[in-house]
Amino acid sequence: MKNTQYIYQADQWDKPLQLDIEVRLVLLFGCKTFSQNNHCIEQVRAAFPNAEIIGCTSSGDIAGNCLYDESLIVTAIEFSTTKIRIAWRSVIGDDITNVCNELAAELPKDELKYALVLSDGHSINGSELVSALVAALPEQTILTGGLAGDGMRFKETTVWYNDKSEQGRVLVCGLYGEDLVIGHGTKGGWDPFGPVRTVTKSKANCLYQLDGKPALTLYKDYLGVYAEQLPASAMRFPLLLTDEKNNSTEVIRTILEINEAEESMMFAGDIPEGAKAQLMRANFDRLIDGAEMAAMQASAEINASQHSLVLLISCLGRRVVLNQRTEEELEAVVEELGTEHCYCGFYSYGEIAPLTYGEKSTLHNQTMTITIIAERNA
Amino acid sequence: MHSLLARILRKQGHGIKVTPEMAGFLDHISEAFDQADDDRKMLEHSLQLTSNELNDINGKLNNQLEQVKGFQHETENMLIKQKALLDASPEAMFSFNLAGEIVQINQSGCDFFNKEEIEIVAMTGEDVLVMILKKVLEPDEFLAKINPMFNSKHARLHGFINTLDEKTYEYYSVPELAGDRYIGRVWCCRDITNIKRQEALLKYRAYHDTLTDLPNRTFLIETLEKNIILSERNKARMAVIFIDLDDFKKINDTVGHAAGDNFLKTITIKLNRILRKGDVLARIGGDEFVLVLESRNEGELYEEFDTAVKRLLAVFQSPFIVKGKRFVVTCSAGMARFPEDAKQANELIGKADMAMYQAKRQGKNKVVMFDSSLEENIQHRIYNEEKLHHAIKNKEFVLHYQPQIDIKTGNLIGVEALIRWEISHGELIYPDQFIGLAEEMGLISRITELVLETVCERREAWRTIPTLANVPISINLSALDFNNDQFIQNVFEIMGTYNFDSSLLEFELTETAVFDDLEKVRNVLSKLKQHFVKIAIDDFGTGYSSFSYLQDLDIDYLKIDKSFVQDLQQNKRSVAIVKSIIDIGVNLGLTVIAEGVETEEDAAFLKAHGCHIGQGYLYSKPVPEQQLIAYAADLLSLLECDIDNQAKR
Repeated sequence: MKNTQYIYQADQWDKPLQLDIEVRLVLLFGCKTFSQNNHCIEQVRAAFPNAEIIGCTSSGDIAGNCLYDESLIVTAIEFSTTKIRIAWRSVIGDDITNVCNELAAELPKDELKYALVLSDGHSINGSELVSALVAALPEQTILTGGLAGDGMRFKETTVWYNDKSEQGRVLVCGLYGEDLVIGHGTKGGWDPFGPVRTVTKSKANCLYQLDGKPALTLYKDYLGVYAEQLPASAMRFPLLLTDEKNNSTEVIRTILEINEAEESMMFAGDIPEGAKAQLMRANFDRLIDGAEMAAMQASAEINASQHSLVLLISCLGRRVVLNQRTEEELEAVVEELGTEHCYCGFYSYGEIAPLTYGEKSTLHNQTMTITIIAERNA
Repeated sequence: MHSLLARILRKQGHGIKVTPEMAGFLDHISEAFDQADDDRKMLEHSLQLTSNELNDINGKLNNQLEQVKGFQHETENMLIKQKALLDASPEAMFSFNLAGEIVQINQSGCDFFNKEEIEIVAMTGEDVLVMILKKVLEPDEFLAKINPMFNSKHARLHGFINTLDEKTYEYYSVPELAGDRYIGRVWCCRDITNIKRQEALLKYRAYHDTLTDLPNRTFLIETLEKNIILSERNKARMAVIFIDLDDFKKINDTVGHAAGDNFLKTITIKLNRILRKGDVLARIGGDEFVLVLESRNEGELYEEFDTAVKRLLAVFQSPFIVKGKRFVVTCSAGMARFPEDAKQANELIGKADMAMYQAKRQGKNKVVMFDSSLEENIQHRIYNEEKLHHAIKNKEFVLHYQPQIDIKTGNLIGVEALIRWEISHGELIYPDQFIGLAEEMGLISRITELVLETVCERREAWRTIPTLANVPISINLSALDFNNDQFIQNVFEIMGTYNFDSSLLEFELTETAVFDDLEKVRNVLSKLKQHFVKIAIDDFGTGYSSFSYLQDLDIDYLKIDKSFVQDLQQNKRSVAIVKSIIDIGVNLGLTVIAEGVETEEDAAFLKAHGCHIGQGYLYSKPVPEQQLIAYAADLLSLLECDIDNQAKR
């Protein structure tokens, strides 16, 4: 396995693109501007004529232990034995379960070890997407990925597939091969605080009331002066949900949008009525520890080779809080896993991965989600 | 630039040259200071809000806690009250948990098990079951009764248990359900021992006579019905003996009802002694008893019957001493047999009753066996009863009159009115054939009144007949007339209606009537005497012939019974009796009337010994009114002729 990374920023590449006909997969993460910049994409296509080019817009791009904005990170992957298969579909105006079934149907099930999902992060209910995909894909297939970002704007996200870049799209990249090894880890590092509240009014991923009071008012109270920066500032207080009807599973939800007229808030995943909710706050050290623990978890089950690709999908909420210190979590990951790997990724509107090994994938918020893709004997 | 960074630069940054690169660097540091400040402010703000929220929640929780304490207090009070309520109940109540342990029990429940509450609630389910089974009389039966409870937790049980301490409990058991959730079972046990005893007593009372404790009519009928079914099945035979005491009334009248009751108890004891096993003796009326004898074959039955009858009559052989007085009380009894005479309980008793009546008619102190002719007689009697009712309603009676003659002068001195029932076409029935029936039917006073009415009416007619205008007329009274309080009132009313000269009226009453209730008779006679009505004692010498009442009562005539007079020529004793009665009458200042004077010799004897009046066939038999009128006229002319002849002589 061979990975080559290029960074495009301020109208120039960090190094000239080298033609490589062996590259089978190119990952693109970047600013929404590049979705309209065909020139850049054409250059990538020219350099890697035999590759499937996939990616999505972000709220910050990761290469190595650095964070980039207004950039495009290109990671060209040359697999030894691993085969890939891509499926992509629009979910606009269609039932998400149907879409997921169609996506899964396009991927041969045999030896489908891993599926990377990249999805529109704005117009899709992430929880529903993940549960539908999990249901449609083979049980042994590991599913990780993330929801595309749009900086702090929360306006429009797109998914790339070769020369196309469209909203409302879901892309699944299936990886096949005996040598393929996948490690994954997901950690948050947020601390719940304040009273435990009850979701008294909600619909799917839209929250109206907590303890019979408007949830938006509560957030505004807590955000104080930052209320003006809603919905982005609400990332500072993600919600810890405990659904007692569903085995008391704990999930963290971040806000995607607000509706002032309805005094409602839209989250990246479902907010079931009756669930217990508690505000969470950041603790810098714990967030950075969380990233480190995610790395440890991702590497725990595999014996990664030197040429592994490490895919980092972290939540925009972490970035909002860590601010200047955002790269510390990237450094913590690289320090844990070593500099010999190729690190790429992005800050997202939602992370997808199993919480631990053997579990089914779910949608996360406010986590650092790490996927290590490696090939044995490579 | 962040104020802190600006201050540091101002104080410590001497010599630092701010190049464009340095400015960018310082901007980053300033931004980091700002970020730290913002984070701190955000944290402080959050802490403050959280603190406020938590304080708010804490306040609410404190309020809720106060409320809960209030509820707890109320609940405790309620529980105490409920406990007291349960303890006040005489019903044993206990509640089981799922493990079959008693978790709640009231005082009566503790008393039921004869244990302390603390002891009971500490027992295991198994121990509790053992404790219960040790208490009940039939544990296996009890387990079978409560078995549905083990099959279905929702089963509701109700039943009765008898315990070893000879008590009966009624129990209810219902599941304790919290919604659909079964959380245990509650039992209530009510001591109904006294109720059961009371029920048994009431049932006993319903079937037994309170005075003698013998089975009553209801018991008799039911037993007889059962025995009939058994006898039919076993081809067995039975005899029903209806017993009625003769002259029991004497005891009640003489020594009082309490003594009469005691006498009945004594009789019961004596009758019980003659019973064999399986015989039934019941008391079905004041002095009426029924004896049921059972046998398997005819021969044996008759032998048994004979023996039973002998024993029965033997009970009454000797006189009884009640309150120091000696009474001869016998019994009349009738027997009916199953299946020959009847196959129904009531019919058997009815036929035995008929036979008993026959025994009474035949002179009492005997047992008569039912036969179909008796039934015919009874039917005849029923026919007669209906006829008699009809006769009274239609006044089908006529009066015949028998003259009473002054023995010395031969003058008509009075007439006795005698009733005849004219059934059809002039066919007459005499009083001895229907007066008894009328007395039994309670119609006698009405008949007496009819006689009086006719007498009053005829006397009115006789005013124009000189020979009868001033002749007194006598009417027979029944002893029962004295028992009828309304009767005397009616007599005066009738006389008032006809404006009847009551001094011309005589009432004849028998010694028996006098003897029944002397005081009452005295009162009635006193009232009659106030209206100048004359009183005669009829059939004197055949009854009790006590001198005391002759002295006590204001009477006018003594009538010597015709049996003595008719016997005068043949029987010296009769002569003596007649002479004595005349002497008594004369000595007491009474007018003596001799009945049954049939010959001149009788008349001569009576005249010789001072008897005042004669009545009999010598003078005239009882005759219809027209014949009486003719007789009176003839007698008068005869007497006038005699006077003329004497004058001529």
